[in-house]
Amino acid sequence: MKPEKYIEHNNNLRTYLNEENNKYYEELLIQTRLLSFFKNEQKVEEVLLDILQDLIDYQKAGKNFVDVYGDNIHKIAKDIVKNILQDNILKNLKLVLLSVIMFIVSSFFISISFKQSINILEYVFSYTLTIVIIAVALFILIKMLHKLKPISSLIILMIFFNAAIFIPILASRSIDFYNMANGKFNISVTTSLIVAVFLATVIVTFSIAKATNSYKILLPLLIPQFANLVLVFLFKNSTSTQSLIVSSVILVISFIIALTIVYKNSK
Amino acid sequence: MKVNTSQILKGLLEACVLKIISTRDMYGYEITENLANKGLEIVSQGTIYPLLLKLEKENLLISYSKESPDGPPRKYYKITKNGLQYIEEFREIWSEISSSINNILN
Repeated sequence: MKPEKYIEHNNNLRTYLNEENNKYYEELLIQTRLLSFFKNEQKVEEVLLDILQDLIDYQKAGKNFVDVYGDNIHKIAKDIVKNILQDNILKNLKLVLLSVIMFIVSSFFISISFKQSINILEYVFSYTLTIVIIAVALFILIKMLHKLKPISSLIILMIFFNAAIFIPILASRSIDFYNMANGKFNISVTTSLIVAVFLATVIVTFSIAKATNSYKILLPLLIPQFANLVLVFLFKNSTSTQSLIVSSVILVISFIIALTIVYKNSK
Repeated sequence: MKVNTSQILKGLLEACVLKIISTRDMYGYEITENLANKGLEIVSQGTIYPLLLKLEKENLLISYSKESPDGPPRKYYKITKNGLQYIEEFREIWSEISSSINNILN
């Protein structure tokens, strides 16, 4: 059976769980799927369905999730994933290669349209930064998942992403301003860097949405990211405090809009 | 320090699970229920799934999907020749070890 079929069965069967069991099981579902990013997806979904079917039988016998599986969900997810084989290397390699090509092509076109010079080293740096951001974001999320409520974790993630774009830009502007006289030391935040961080946030948001099957809640979180991107390009050449204030205000407003939509969708 | 039952059971559980499914093919819930009926309440049943995955990797059992009348197919576990052999070897070693340990502890 293909993974999608397993997921469909899983979604159907979960309706048989009572509210409490469903809460715990879904937590297990999310953690296992996130932890098994490079593993064989079919095997993962197979095990998750198996656990669900057994849980339903236990529920019929009057037992609940915690009685049967305990409450250390992170440990269960880890142990399951540990024993599943990695996806075949070629498939993962294709994924990596595809993202590299996507990144290079988009940065290339953006650089051309902004008449900037093309610098291979800068692309390598930006791409590495993308990977680092994705890894850190997923790491933070997985660690926090069993300590904070999912919504709080997502908000923190959103702030992290925006900081990842905003802080380098802020830093580069203030440092530029400071060294404008000697012109020696100049951190330029180039378009490929901005594209890199933006891509990273989009990729992470999409993979989490896919793992948790909650597109309606997560995609609005990209609104501040889009706002960030637009603002950065609009105010690219102005270092005045006024433009900075305007950008910050617009960013905060987009935050508020995104959070309102997220809360409305999660009810 | 409390006695950690699952630590004691770790190696033994694999042989027990194999022995249980050697009588007939079963799915997860049946396996744990059978263990419980024989007096082995696994403290955290979450342990059965990584254990079954491990045994499958070692080719001591195989799994297959069986159509179910109401709902999606269910995964059944079936013992292999290697699994049967493992049980025999384990039985011998266990009887040696268990008598020695009983000697020591009593």
